[in-house]
Amino acid sequence: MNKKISLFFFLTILTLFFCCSNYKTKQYTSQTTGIGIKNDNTVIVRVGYYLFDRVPGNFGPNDNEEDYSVYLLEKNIGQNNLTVKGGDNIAGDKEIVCHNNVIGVGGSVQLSGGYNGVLLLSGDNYQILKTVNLSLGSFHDFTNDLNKILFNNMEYDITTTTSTPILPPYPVLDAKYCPTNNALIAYVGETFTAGNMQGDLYTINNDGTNMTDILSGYNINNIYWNPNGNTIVFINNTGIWNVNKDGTGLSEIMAYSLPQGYKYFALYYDLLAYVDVNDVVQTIKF
Amino acid sequence: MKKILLLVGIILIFALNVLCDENIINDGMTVNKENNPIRGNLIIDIGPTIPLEQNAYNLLWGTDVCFKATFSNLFSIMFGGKLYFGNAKAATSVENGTKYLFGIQKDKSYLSESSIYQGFSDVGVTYYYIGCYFGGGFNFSVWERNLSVSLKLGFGGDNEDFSGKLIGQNDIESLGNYNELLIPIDLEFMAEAFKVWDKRIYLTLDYSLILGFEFNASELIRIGLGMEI
Repeated sequence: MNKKISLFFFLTILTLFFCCSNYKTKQYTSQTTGIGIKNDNTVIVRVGYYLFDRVPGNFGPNDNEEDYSVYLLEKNIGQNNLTVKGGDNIAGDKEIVCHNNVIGVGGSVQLSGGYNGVLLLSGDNYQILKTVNLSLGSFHDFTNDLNKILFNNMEYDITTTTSTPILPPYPVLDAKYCPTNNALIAYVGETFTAGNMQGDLYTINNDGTNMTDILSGYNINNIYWNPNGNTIVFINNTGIWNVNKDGTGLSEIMAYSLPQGYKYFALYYDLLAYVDVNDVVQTIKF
Repeated sequence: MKKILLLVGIILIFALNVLCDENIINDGMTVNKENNPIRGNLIIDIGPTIPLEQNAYNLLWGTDVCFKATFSNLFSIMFGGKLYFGNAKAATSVENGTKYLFGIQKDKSYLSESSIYQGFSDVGVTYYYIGCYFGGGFNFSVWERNLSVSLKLGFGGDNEDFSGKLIGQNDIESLGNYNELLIPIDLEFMAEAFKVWDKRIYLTLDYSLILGFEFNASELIRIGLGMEI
């Protein structure tokens, strides 16, 4: 009898030993989903964080996903550390547009009336300056007085809550208000009549008049106005260029091609930033 | 390197105390003035414990309560319980773009995140182990100092809690834990050092190999200062 009891205890302890190891610890995986340039020295990167539990028998992170949140992080050029700015409901999922120390984010943002639109944030503390309920495909720019939004091929007036198509109905790759005259817009796309000139640079008034093809055949990707409002910096597959707003004075600032596998890039008038294949933010000053 | 120096230093102090102290009071096990062939002692000792793997704590605190029965001043058997405890900021290591935050041993459990886009902050770890053991040993005398060497087999469990802040949060919260049942094997050197108020004070040097099923084994060295009750 005693032997049986001893055996029972021995087997019980052995079973406990083999079965009672247990762990449950939290893990983050992260993924960059966008990049913008706030000023000469600061880059903003949007990062999605997946939080999940690491538990025995887990076959993949998503099996135990607990939370997903998206944050804007700031990185100063020349420094490695990134700082989280603002909450997890202001990051959006479209372009990040910055000028005059205001940050515009579009797409999926948490608004009082819905979950899509544009947020204009203070560059100092990332507090919300304006919210716009708007369903948009691409977010291009906003005016200095924060009253108008340029998206898709339309301009949205925040005060009257009306959208007006002012750009051609073809894909607009990028569009920016002239910083010294918001009535003038430079955009990369096509004319109203030709559907085969994608990547050309145009200027147009914000009432849809005076459309001018100022540069053709350069397959432009993105543009950024010089703060003086006289020249436009653009990037294409071969380099970074500068051109006067009337199309004259074209000059190549530097020959450059974005590296293979890059994920996102942003252009500023004197800075290029991109997220490389390893999710690392790289910057090039020019 | 610091850990090795600390370990060597503690061992040196241990050796000097035991082997070079001329004022040591020696009326212990080798010169048993009583005729009772079996003598029982309850010894409680406490001291720092050094994990030998890369870890967050550098030092744990360990305590040992042991009942030791000595036969004929030569052999002894013992049983008792042990407790290790530590609290520290998590240690980190980066491999292939992933940052690992861990406590007693990375193999056991960890938090992980991107080394670039870090989500955890202010991560702390708390470890404790509690277990019992039994074993046997030899007693002998060197330079009129009473020493004993014993081997113990134990059974116990450990637990480690992770706490810290998630990204965007201001409050410290639990970030997980692990626990497991363990079988520790201890090799212990114990030396009677001096007397305080007629109580024998012992110095102990204890090497523990802690075996588990799920995770790799841990190695600990404990330096203890014990008192006979």
